[in-house]
Amino acid sequence: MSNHLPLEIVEEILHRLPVKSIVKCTSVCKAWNSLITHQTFIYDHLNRTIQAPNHNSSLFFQFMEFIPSPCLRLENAYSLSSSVNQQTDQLSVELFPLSHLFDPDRYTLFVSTCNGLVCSADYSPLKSATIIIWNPLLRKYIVLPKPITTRRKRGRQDLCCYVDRNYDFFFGFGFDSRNNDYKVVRVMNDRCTKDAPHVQVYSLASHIWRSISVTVPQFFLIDRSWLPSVFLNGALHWLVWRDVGINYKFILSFDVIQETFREFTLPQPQSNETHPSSRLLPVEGGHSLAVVNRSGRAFCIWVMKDYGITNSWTEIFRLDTELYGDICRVLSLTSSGKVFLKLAGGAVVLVDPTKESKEPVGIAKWAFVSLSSFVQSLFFLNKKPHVLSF
Amino acid sequence: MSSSVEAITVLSSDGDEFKITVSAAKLSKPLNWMLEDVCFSDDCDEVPTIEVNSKTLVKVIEYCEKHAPRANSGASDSDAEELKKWDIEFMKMDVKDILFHILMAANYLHMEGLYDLACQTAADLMKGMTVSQIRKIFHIKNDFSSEEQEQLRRQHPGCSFD
Repeated sequence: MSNHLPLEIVEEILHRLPVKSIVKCTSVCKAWNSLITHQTFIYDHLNRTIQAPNHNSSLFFQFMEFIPSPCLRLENAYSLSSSVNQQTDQLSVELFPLSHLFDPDRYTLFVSTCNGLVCSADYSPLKSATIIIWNPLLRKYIVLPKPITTRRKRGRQDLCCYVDRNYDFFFGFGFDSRNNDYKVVRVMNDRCTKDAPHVQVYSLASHIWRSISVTVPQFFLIDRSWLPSVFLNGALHWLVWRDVGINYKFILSFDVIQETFREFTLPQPQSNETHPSSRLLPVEGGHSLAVVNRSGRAFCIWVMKDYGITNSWTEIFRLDTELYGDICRVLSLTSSGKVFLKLAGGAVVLVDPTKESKEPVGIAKWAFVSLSSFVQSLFFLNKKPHVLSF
Repeated sequence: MSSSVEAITVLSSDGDEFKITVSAAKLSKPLNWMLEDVCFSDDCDEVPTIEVNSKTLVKVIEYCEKHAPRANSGASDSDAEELKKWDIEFMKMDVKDILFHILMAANYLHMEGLYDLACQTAADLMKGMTVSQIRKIFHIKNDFSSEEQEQLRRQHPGCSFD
């Protein structure tokens, strides 16, 4: 028997390596290099990673306050591998300095992760948005072409959505599993007219934007300066509201394959306030959507147990704001039933609500932080003209 | 095949005879098919040959015999835990000498569990290795020029190649 392993076995072994080790293996020999950098390997790797249980890790995004507040600017990302060993949450941290990717006079409008890539958009009052998609592990990114936009003339002085009270303006970042393609959705809603919102879709494979003609339920944004999308079950989700005599809050969802919108009702009763204390979260590694409601002294966490069935909303637990110290935000729900919380004072802790246990996450104090579930991906491994390194 | 047969004899590629119980042989799809097709009564002269060397076949049979009871009847969590520990001990072997042979044997015998375990063991070993160490264990000659290597390094600033 020869000592040389057939490439099909090498491929199996490579699929079990972390992304950085796989990249290292591209320099072993030419045969391995072409195996790894082939699209088939990259897609296979992604599909295996998504399906493998307990391989989720988290990505923390650290923001700095941007003047004029309350705008924020994305500064750094930290990856935190959790539940790598199934039993224990391994809290190893890696830092990705990012601030140099962004213009210093811009604030961050949007940051979302999907299948190992991150999409972020920044905005300045004078310039149109810069949107980038990046792979933190490979330190590669692409700058998206500028979407072509049309606006009413009288809105021209206020091109920034934050200062422009007439527009609701937001993004979503998702994966089209039918075409193995990442898509960015950009929705612009004119509050002053009854016109349908203008929806554009960018596809990573084609690297272009196109406008789509689609029926969108009437809605307004709850938090106009900051609205990350939640991607699960092939669809993007945002928390929005509309005026039906009362302020009716609901979930707006966009099917990334079909490119259609639908809406879901929230667990009842909902408070009528449109302040941003309610949040949508994915249940990490699963296919369930969760919503966090602030109710008096408690954060109530509801999960839509059967996706799309709105009477399956179930309150899974309540967290007293003072139980773990002063909770100011529920950041993320892990697949093992634990919860990342941000406490007043800046500490981030991982708690187990069933045991009331609490462990600190070993990162410096945070002023502004968001957390997304994250998988390792080899996208952007190939050398292409528009893929840049950081 | 006769239901009274509990173990069969197989030959390794080196021509040595090995006994394997029927329940253990069922872990391999090709062996399982063979059990259905071939007569194993005592008056039968034919002995199937498995294209795996004796040293490797000993280990493969050891794995099969250990895993057969659980594979056939299911087992409690504590058994599963014990089996996991056993697997870790079992996989403590030299890469060039035997692990790669086990990989090829598991692939050839369609033994999913052993294949997965051996692939994972090889991957775990590679994680901490430098590129030249990886080349050495896989018997691979470096066919990149130094310029090409430098280019690869520049292409992937986020990853270490040492």
